Amino acid sequence: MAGDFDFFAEDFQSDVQSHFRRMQRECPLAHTDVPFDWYAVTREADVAELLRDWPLWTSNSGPGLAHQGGGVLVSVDPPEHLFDRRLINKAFSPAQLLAMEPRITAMIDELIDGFVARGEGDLMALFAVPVPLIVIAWLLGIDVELATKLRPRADMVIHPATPPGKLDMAPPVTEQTIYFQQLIDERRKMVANGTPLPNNVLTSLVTAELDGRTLTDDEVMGFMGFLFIAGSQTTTQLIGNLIYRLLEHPDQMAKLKANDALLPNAVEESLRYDAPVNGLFRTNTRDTELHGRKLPKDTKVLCMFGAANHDPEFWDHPERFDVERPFQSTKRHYSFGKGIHYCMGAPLARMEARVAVKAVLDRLPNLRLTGEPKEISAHVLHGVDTLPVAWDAPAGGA
Amino acid sequence: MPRIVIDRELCLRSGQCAYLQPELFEMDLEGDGDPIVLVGDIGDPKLIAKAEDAITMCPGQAIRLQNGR
Repeated sequence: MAGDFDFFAEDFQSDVQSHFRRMQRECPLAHTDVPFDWYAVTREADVAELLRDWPLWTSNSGPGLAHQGGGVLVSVDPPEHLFDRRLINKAFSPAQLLAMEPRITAMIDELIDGFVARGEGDLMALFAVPVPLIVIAWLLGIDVELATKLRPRADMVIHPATPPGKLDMAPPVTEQTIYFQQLIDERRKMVANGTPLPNNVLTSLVTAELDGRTLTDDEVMGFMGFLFIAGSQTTTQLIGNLIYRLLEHPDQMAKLKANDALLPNAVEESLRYDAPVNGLFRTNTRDTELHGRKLPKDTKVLCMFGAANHDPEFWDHPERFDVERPFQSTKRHYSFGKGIHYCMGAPLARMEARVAVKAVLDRLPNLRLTGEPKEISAHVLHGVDTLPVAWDAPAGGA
Repeated sequence: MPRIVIDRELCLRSGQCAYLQPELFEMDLEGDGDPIVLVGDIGDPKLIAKAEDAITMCPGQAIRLQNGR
């Protein structure tokens, strides 16, 4: 490696924050050549500026390292982005999402009923993975069992298995493509026959007409694929990260158990402390200069949300995990991005995490780690892939 | 006539209001990054519809229309 950091190195991935601190101090615009030249910004002020100035720092080349045209939402800027947003705004409005809380609470309770008697297990596989998958399946109109089987992985953004030089999006998920095409065909048939349509995102996409334009099958597929992955894995990481930190900090766990009112703070502090997505890329639309370095047009710069969330210039004691940190402070984190690309699923993610963690605290007493959690392999994500735990099973169980 | 009110505690500074309805909102980048309401009392139904769009899409559910003073 030549350069200021190696994002893909195990040493970097296993302790991102100490590397972020060094980069903030020594190389605010950090360069790497693995697998080709690109950069990262880690200071809060720089992350804020790049996210704000979308005409210069575009998403049109995709949020990942691979230079990609096309795509939806996260991969386009206005005016296309505004068009995309208007298409799904109704199905994805915060009020609509928050109205799902009773249904989500009931589903979570039922899920825990299914495994509570075991007294131990991997809380990611048992709980943190299925909860968001089921919710996004409801929203999109995907069969819940099939959603679990298809479980998409965010390896698509930067695929870890892809050898340098051949960096590209993950290979097409064919089973998913075939299934989504069936769904689209069925829904178009329902529209043609005048059958009453279920209220979900698939219906919105298939029936959408904006400025005299409707969506092609490929476009519907693009939305479905993106929302499926964006709506599941990141929230899985959030739930896993929060539970893991609570297990690591028993004093914080005790505070939270004693006071439900701290739940929103705890979720927000988890988002700040462990950004589920380390960062997303922007690409400059013209030659520019940053921290004294000339960057030619089409240079990829990774905006490190996880670093901005711990920038000592911006936070008091960022290294402290504190569920009592006031919401007015924690809410300034970058884990949902900022500005035009602010995460549309943020209200849903916050609510899912709050309900999920409350259920775990209430129903899995004396929760404890029984082994070392495995880190997630996708470099762009931050969190655990397994969470081996035990709890006191209810008497008469198993 | 109604006017737009933002609850600063609920506001998440996402910038969605200023993005979706730039006629009505602007982010105060000189200050602490809160949104600023650009209009006073609004009577025009078109503007009210725009305000309602921002209200619906605000991720912090921090915006509302308030009647009177």
